[in-house]
Amino acid sequence: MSRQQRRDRLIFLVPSMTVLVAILFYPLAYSIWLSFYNYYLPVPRKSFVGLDNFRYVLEDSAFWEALSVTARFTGAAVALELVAGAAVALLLDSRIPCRRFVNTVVLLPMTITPAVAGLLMRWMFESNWGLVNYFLSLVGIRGPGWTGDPAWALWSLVLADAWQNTPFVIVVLYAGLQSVPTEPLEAAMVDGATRTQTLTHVVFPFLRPLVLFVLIIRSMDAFRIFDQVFVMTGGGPGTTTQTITFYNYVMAFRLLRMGRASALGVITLLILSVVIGFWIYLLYRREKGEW
Amino acid sequence: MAYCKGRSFMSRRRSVVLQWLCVTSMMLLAGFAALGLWPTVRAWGADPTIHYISHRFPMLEFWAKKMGEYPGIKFEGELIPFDQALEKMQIHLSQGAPTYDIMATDAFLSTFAERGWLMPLDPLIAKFRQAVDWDDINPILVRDVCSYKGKVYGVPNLSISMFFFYRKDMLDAAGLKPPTTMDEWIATARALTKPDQKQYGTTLTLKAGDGFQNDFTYFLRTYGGDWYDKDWKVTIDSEAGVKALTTMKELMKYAPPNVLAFHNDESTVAMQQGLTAMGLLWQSRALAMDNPQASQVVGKVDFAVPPAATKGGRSVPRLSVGCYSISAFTKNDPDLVFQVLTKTLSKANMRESAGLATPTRLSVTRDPEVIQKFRFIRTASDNIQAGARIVPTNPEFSEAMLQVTQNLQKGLTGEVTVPEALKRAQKVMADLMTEKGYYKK
Repeated sequence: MSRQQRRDRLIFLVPSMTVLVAILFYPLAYSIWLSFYNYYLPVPRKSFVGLDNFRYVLEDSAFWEALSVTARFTGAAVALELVAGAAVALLLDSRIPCRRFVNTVVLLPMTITPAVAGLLMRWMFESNWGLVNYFLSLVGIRGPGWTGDPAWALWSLVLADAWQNTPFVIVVLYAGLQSVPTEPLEAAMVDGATRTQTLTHVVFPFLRPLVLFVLIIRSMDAFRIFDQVFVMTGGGPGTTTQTITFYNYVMAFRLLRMGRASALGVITLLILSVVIGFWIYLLYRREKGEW
Repeated sequence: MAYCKGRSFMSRRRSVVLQWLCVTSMMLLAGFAALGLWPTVRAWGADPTIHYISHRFPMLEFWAKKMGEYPGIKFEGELIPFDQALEKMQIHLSQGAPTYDIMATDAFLSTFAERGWLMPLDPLIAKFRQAVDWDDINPILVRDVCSYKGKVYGVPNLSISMFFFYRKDMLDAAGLKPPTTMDEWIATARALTKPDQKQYGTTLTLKAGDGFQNDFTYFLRTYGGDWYDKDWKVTIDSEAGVKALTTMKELMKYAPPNVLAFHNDESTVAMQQGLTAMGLLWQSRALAMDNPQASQVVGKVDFAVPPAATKGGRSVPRLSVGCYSISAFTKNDPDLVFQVLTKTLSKANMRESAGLATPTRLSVTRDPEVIQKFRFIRTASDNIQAGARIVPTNPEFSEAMLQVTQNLQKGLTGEVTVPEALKRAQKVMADLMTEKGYYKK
């Protein structure tokens, strides 16, 4: 490639790079820069404090609590969504009646914005007049206080998240199931493999990269959950549902500590990068045929 | 044409690229310019727009509606939950943005005034004293709540206190009287709790933030404690604090299962729908009990001064005085904004709205017809006599409140013991006060 061609290509990159820099790199760089400053919103003057904000966050018990809540939420929500999503995808892949209708209905929660879904769920999980407890009462169960009960508040968030995001898992895995070639399935049938054996030894290996893909996307999203927490529980009772992003919001917009909030944001970014890096490493190992 | 044919392919391509870049840049610039200029263009020749923000409850909805009827202006009101209103105001004002003209500043008036976000109203009061009948507005409220360091920063628009709401029909049926002490409250709540019939003895407002703070402040002060001593030392980790939180924990046993998620709205609905028999609620919710469209308990709810700690003891209910302030960054004519505000808070309007909260004009609160018409104005007066007080007005109080009450909640859920919860809550507040330089090292 000539120098001229390289220059032309760079020129073509300018518009998209401008947009990227404006909406991605600049805020990120600004946030990193801010994390080294003591910036209290009502006082316009910022003072350089080095790593003090990071030290503050890492010594703050609320941060570790929020990290633990986020990890538990992410683990539970993603696991539930994967299991439920795989089950529904398999069901749709088999010859069930009204498949198209079911397909459409299943996708509906995905079309709702998370804040609206959170509001819906808040009323569904309302312990005195909510639908969930109403249905439980029909089978003789007195439902818990859900969002007001420390033992159930996190679970109500997990269920709300699963309700909204399982369709994504279904779509991806269902598409994967549709693309499984027929030859190995027929060969398994000829060899007398049971349905479970076919599923575990033939179908699942084909789906593995997609499962990993779903894991990456859903883990990232679940780790950053904010809308449902804000709408459904406000981080409570106590701090039982205070996730990292919610704590970040509290730090920035309630306590107005922009420097510390930025440091918390940077730390969150690093944690998430490590987790996602691990998943991607697994994905590439698979592509290289290492497992 | 001949010229074009003579140019090299690369040169033509470069020309296309440059043209394309120019067009794209110009479109982007035009777009940004249009976005930036649109409000200005739209404002040409139109009535001035007054932007308003407050939390939402019937009295403030009434004032917003009346401001919207003010002649010669366009009114844009934002009535949103308390926490969100505070958050939006802080973000916009800290950047010096002229987003809002009139704001309900209430308990954080001093915080905002200290930061230079509010317009001092003294010159405007001097200018319009007669026209807006300023001297009729309760001077004690102006001086004690809507002023900061000797300057007036707000106009009091309402005064409300927390009542003890109770279902007189249920108490009568059970042969009980409204409780006058904490022990009686617990005993009465126990007697009226029948979870199988979806009936609970009491409601509490325990959602972390200002909701929890309102209830806790009443319990704390009624047991003889307070948030700070005279030297601003935080004093909630005290005997009174333990008694307050322990009583709340005891009462929680007779409250609906998700009471930790209850804010004012949820507590109101619980009373309106007959789910709870008693509870502390704001005076502004009293009228809602008798609204046949929303309430199943019309005429069945009565009001009293909240219980004292012991027989013959003193009850210290929460008092709240609403203040409307004008942003220091308003782009509108301050004379106009002040007149919109004060003329909306006229005698006629206050008389019309007297059922929603205690009016702040002396001529209305002293009007026998108004007192006769709204039965709860008597309770409001009794509450003031009992010693109802506003919360501390230092900026740190509202700033730390979410984290403080989150920690106190943990004492109620059993996540930590009551003394530990108080200790942690006190530490959060004390750390902030130390950081702000309240204590000498």
